[in-house]
Amino acid sequence: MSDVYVVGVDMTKFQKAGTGPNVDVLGSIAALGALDDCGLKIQDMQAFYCGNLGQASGMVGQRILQQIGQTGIPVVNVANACATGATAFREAWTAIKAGLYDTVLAVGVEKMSSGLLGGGGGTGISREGLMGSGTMPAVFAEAGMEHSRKYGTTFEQFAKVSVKNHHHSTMNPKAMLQKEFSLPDVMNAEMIAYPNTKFMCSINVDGSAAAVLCSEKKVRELGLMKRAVKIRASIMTSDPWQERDLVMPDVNSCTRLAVKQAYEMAGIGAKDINLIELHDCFATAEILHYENLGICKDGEAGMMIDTGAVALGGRIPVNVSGGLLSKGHPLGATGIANIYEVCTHLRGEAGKRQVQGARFGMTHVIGLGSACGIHILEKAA
Amino acid sequence: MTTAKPLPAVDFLKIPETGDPYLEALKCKNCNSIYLGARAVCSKCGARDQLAAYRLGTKGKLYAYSIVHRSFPGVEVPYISAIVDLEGGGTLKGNRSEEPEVRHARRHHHQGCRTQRSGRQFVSRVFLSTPRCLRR
Repeated sequence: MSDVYVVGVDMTKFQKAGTGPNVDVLGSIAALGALDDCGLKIQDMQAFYCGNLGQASGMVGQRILQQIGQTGIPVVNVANACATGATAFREAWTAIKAGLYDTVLAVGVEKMSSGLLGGGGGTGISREGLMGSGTMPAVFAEAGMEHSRKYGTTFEQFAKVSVKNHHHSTMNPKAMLQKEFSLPDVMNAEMIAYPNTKFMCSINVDGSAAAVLCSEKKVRELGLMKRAVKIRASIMTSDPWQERDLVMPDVNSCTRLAVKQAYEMAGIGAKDINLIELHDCFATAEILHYENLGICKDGEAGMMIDTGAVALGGRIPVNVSGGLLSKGHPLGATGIANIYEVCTHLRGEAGKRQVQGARFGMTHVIGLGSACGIHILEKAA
Repeated sequence: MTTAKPLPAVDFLKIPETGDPYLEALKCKNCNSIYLGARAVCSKCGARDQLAAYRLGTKGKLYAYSIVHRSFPGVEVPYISAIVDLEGGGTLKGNRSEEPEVRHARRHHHQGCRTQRSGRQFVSRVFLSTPRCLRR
């Protein structure tokens, strides 16, 4: 099976929810950006995988092609909660791995509204506030409190994640926010669901990201290896059975299962990874994933944020883009926006936020329900 | 005029003709896993036709919680969203009625907590008493 490379990648500047153009136009901007990034045209693409959640039944991929060129290629529209973009990317990878195509486009796009996510569903009476909360801030607050119960993780340590990621985003012109927040700013902000304050919740934004994937043969034929990024691992998992998962969605098991497979596929370990873009949908979640992804031992996540090990310049920088907390979280686009960020560093093109000497990077997303997508990328040239 | 019989807020809450409402889960006879709500196959071990009705306990220990300060319009805040491991197995999520100061969630149960716009009443449950949940 051929190795697969990212040759073109781009994302839109994430913007306030509801202010972006229609989803097809928004997706077309990133798609054209990714094509331009590698000097290819839509006519060069043999297939297109499109991730979108809000209009999952709306044939978004075909509508994007109406904006950029209806070439008759197969279009597959995918939805997989917050792992939607990563799923589209992985399907593109799978298709090339299988030998079906040499050039494939993957796009993730989302237009959002502001406000709380989650808490809906079911028939009859609303359970929200009657049988606990199903809002995402509360669900991930409870996951954080589980960590706190086990290891004594503090409100302050969770809040430091937000301080770090907002600081990182000041160096990312494509982030929704580019603004510093101090620890008191974060801890004294409106409490949404303890211990997650407003600034510890990801921002609903409109955004899109896209990638052009090629087989190794095609990369060489096109002379694109210099800026190409090799996909060393592409893994998806669902959540294995856990005793509490009917009332407490489990984002840990599927991540641990996925990362184990990802390290095996890539033939490297956590110590080899130079940067990670992980699913910080809430500040509490990021803490969990330091341990889930194996960059520290269980119980050491609080120490990782306290010591700055996960900040730019630290041992293993996490979410140097600003993460979902500050860059923003357009659900269906996030998985490919993470790919964009890591590719940008591996190419040495990340400007002020560049992780120096980066060779391997990891992306991680979680779609609650649950789906976990992990990619390990390597600088090719 | 007769009042319509209240409905359970969730399908695993049973309201008998006489006596207190109770919570009824399914338990796998093969691996002892417990499930809230209907299903035909055990999602842990995959056994078919091994799930039998199982009455959940009324006591448990708080496992995790969040204090919810912002919710959807019409939902009164703040409130405590609690996850409780029940004696005898099973885990429930619910509102807790008191501040988090006592170790044990002593009892869950029925309260006619909410009425739909139609006037239809629904029976739910609430955790009474509570935890110093993050202390071991």
